[in-house]
Amino acid sequence: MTSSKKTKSKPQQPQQPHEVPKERALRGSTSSLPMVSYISIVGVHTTLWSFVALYLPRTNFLGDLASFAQQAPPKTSQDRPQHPFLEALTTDPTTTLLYICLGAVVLQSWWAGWVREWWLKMGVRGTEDEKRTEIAHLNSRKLSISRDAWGATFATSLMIHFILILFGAPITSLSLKTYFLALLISIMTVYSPAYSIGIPTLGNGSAAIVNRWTWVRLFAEFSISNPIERMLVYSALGTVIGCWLGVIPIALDWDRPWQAWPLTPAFGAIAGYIVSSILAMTVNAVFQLAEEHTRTQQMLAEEKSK
Amino acid sequence: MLPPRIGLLIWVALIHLTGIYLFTKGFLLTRLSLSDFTTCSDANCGITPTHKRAIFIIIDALRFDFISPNPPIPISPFHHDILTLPQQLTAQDPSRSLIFNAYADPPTTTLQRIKGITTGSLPTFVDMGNNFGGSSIAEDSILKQLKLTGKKLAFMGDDTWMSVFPDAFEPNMTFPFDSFDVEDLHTVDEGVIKHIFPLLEDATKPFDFLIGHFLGVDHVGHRVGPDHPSMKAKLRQMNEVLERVVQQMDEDTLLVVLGDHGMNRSGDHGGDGVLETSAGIWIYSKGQPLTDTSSARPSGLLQFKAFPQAEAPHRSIQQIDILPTISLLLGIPIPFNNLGTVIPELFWRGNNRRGTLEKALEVNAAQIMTYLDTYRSSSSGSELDDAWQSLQNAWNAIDRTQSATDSKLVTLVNFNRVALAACRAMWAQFNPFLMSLGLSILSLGLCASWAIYNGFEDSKQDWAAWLSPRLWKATQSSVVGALVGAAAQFCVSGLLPGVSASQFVLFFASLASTVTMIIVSAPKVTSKTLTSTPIILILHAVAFLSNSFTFWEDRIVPFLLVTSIVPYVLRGFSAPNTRLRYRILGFSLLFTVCVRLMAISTICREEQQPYCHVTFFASSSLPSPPIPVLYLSIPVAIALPYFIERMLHITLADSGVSKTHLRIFLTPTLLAGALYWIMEWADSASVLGEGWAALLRGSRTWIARMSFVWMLAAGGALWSLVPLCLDIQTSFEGEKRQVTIVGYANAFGSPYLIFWGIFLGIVYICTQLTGQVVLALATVALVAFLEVLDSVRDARSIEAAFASATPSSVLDPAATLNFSPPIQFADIVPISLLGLLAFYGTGHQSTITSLQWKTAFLLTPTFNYMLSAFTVVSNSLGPVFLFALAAPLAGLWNTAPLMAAKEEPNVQSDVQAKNEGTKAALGIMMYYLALLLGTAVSAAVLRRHLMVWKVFAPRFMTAALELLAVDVAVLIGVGLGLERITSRLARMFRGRPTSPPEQKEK
Repeated sequence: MTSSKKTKSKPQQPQQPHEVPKERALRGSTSSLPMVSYISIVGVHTTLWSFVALYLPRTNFLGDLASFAQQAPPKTSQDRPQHPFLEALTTDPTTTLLYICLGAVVLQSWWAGWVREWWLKMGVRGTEDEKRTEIAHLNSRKLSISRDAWGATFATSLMIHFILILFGAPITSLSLKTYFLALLISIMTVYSPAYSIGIPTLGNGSAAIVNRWTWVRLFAEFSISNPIERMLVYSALGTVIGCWLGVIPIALDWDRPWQAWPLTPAFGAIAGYIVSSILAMTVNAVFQLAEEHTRTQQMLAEEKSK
Repeated sequence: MLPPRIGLLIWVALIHLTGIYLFTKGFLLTRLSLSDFTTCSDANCGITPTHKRAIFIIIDALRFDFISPNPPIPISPFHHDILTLPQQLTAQDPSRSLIFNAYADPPTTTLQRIKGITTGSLPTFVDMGNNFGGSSIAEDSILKQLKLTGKKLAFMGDDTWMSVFPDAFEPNMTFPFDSFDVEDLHTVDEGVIKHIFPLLEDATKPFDFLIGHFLGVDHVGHRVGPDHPSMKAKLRQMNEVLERVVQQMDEDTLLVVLGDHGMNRSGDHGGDGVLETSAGIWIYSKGQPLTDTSSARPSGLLQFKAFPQAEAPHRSIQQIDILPTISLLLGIPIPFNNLGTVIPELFWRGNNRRGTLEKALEVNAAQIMTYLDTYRSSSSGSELDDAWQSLQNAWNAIDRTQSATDSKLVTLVNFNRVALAACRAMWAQFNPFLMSLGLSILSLGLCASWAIYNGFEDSKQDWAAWLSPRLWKATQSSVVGALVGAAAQFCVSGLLPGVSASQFVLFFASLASTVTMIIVSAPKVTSKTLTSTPIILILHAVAFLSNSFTFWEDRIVPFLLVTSIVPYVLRGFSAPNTRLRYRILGFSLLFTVCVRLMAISTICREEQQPYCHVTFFASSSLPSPPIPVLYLSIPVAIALPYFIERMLHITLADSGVSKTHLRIFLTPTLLAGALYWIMEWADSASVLGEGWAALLRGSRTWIARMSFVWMLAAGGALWSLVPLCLDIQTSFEGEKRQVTIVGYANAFGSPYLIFWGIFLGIVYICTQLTGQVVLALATVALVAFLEVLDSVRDARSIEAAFASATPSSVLDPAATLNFSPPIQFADIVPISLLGLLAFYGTGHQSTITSLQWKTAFLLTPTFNYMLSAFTVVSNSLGPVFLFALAAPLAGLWNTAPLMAAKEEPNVQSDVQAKNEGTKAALGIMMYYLALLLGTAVSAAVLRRHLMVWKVFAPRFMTAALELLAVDVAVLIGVGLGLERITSRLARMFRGRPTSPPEQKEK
């Protein structure tokens, strides 16, 4: 968090070195995350995620398009029938996953739009003018950036499919299910950072190197320097850990239909995503409050000294 | 004197042994065998005998459905409706021929079942270990009763009987045959056939009781499984034999044909699966009818049970019920320990049907009550306390019921069954006190190991000075503890039953020793301790509390294994230079791919069905290798040594003697291993025709023997003479003589890997073809992991050097020690898990059924106590042993001897290698100890669980054996391998400590 202070204070100080404290406080809040909208968007986002996970698969707006070859109905013991609420989710896991993936595409596009806006506000460096031109330039290329980000998401989904197999997913059978899980994970983890930070490329230009090392710093070293990075890293980690934990109940001999592959890791991933998004929001809010508190303290101290 | 670090490893191993011993003593059950025998006051115990003689034919592993008139659907063409004589005769005359589905008490091994059938008692879990040794029965048995009444006994077949009843049979009518040669399908059976018919034809009727024990069906099951033409041929042969027996037997002879146990789908047995416990029984009389079919038998006495997938339920009995039945039919007393109940049908005969049956049941119940009374007044009598009240109630109910009614019969049978149930529960009785003593020693042992491990980490190069006094104190306090234990036993022995003096002494000695060790080397708990919590180990050990996770462990291990490599991969992305980055990521990928491929191979547990497909064999009922493996085996055997050589080449450690070792010893041994098992496959699948069998058998035995000798004797001798893989080149640059030591960078790792290769070769031969591919993959994974570890360590030390005040010190080899990070516990986790994965991948499970008996005949065509035990143990525990032996490599790989820096010339060159190697050894001991603790706790807590004998107890026993294998491996590795290498290196560099040898790296 110390470094996040730096990024905020550095560009400000040369411009308004001796401003009135009130205005300084105002500036501080505009250049950091707009807390109110951030909290409300995270709230809407996580609620929509629960909706996508639990309710979207019960609709059948795709009609016959989404009916995959039915396997033998998942067995459940007669004496303990499963809750009717779960019935629609477990009858065909592939369809469930497909609906969730479709929901995820819409949801993450919307969410990534916000993340990008915040990121551009905080991540682009330089003077106010430079920033403005840079942002304008980036915004004009929104469409191609979005296309690249989706491309990266798709490419990563193939890689994640391979990784899932390495972790023990069946190699030849159930491929479609495994792939939908891989796709879901990659939509949740890759799209937002790819859309806001930009995709890492192999080029030797300084921009490419900086970009690459930003990805390494965030997703391999987990070192965070501002609230946006926190939400990206936390949600990616949360998704992966949730998915990892979701594997555990599969082995239990309860013979429940919801233990079918890949329902538990998929729902684990979604739960992990929601929990970690809220966690990131809480941590961000706490830091913000702490910062504002110190700032008020300073203001008071300055006023007193006057 | 013993170096302190070897003393330490021995100390830890001894603590393990004590803990395992104490826990096992309390957990595994024992039954007191009473030596009383039954005598009847009145002649024939009041029951008129029906037959003078009996022929008792045991067809080993004759599962019920093999003789069932309504076999399961779908009908197998290989073993259903082939042995049809019983059903034919039953259809002809149901009053003279009866077929039952008999429940054989687990463990379903032949020795246990022979004991059960002849004494009528229940086996306990501990008995099973005696299967090889056999041990004569001191208890009352039908053979003893027959001898007492002066009857003559004849025997032919499985020689297990001879070890159990060494002098029961008439010497001129005894024809035992070796029982352990599973590959021999016919000798025993032909021997029985050869000797049985002359006795039957003999007009003088020389025998009163004839036992014929056929082994062929069992051997066919073990060798090729029940779904094989051999099984069909075997059963057809049995059918013909029985036809001849029926033809030749006379009218007052009783014929009993039974299987001692069943077999599972792949033809093995030992456990308590329903297929293993369902044995067939057929009783036939040529003359007098056995039962009266004209009137209905009292309902409520007869039980029916459906065989899996069979359409109709069939009459089912306990297998031990046959004992009181034939005793009374032959007119002899029921053996004293019997818990079986007479089969009602066979006494429902004659004019006074109800009276006969009631009398028989009364004799039976009285015998059981006498037994229970005697047991209760014995030293173990308190075991019966819990059940005594219900036994009394059932007994009193008999007196209260009106004679000659159905309910009288029902109360009699009920009493017998209550007694049987009570005894089953009783011999599942534990000694919780001893178990808790064992558990506390194991837990303290784990804490002490952890404390020492941390101490090693902190003391760095001064570990020898740090360790010696502590070890000495621990030894002293163990002596004190032993004395205290002896004293404590003297004082409180009356209060704590079932704990002997030696157990007290052992417990207090270990307790004092471990507690002292923990106190004197109390680890500092820092924030680093918390962040380095071994989450994988904790999850792994805790998972044993669930039966699902225990029997899915073979899938959980690769999952955890791949997870354990993730931190290294993340580290790989942020490595400081491209070379390290590629190395870490590339080798991690190689590692995970190997792990995933290893995980494909599995021999499924019964509980994993229907979610598991056998891939270790071609199919679940055909124990031969899958076809792709047959093609792969030879290329793999050639490629593996080449791969090792290639990896050693990275540090130029393939020079010197290592090339010789790999090419002259490892490659031929691996090839011989592959060849042996290919020939074994050719033999059992008869691909070359019958004519080749003898040649194949003979030559493959010699191949195995020769490669054993070659690898162990010649390879071992060469290694111990020239262990180092260094090549010393001298060149002259003008006046100056330049000495280059090639392979110096991996001076410890490469000779240790070669040393490891000797054991790899041995385990490789003892492993079946699919397992060999798995072992090869595991070896590749191991070396890949070592490279990952080395690169990550390089990355760390480079970063540490850059972070230090003098970044250029990264170029100074003498200073690297300060930056070279010590191995962490997390570095040992993948190697430990790799051992377990290799165990599962080589066709094992934590069940008794999965032992690969085929390997018993590797070095000898017939069973040999020493060699067969050795090869079976190397087959089962070999993988775990190998990777425990490999653990020190984590500390040795790519570590060069330390340069004596000018300022401190006394630093020994091998101090770091010794320290790290020992730490790694201790680490893997801790991992397996934690697993043992997890399984022991789960077995103790869940000792009344339905699955305890099926899941928890076998896993505990596996964990105990694995830990012992690990202990032996690290002692060999550190005590023999590392010791030899370091002493040779020390001798090599003696005399030139001040001029550090020129290092030629990479």
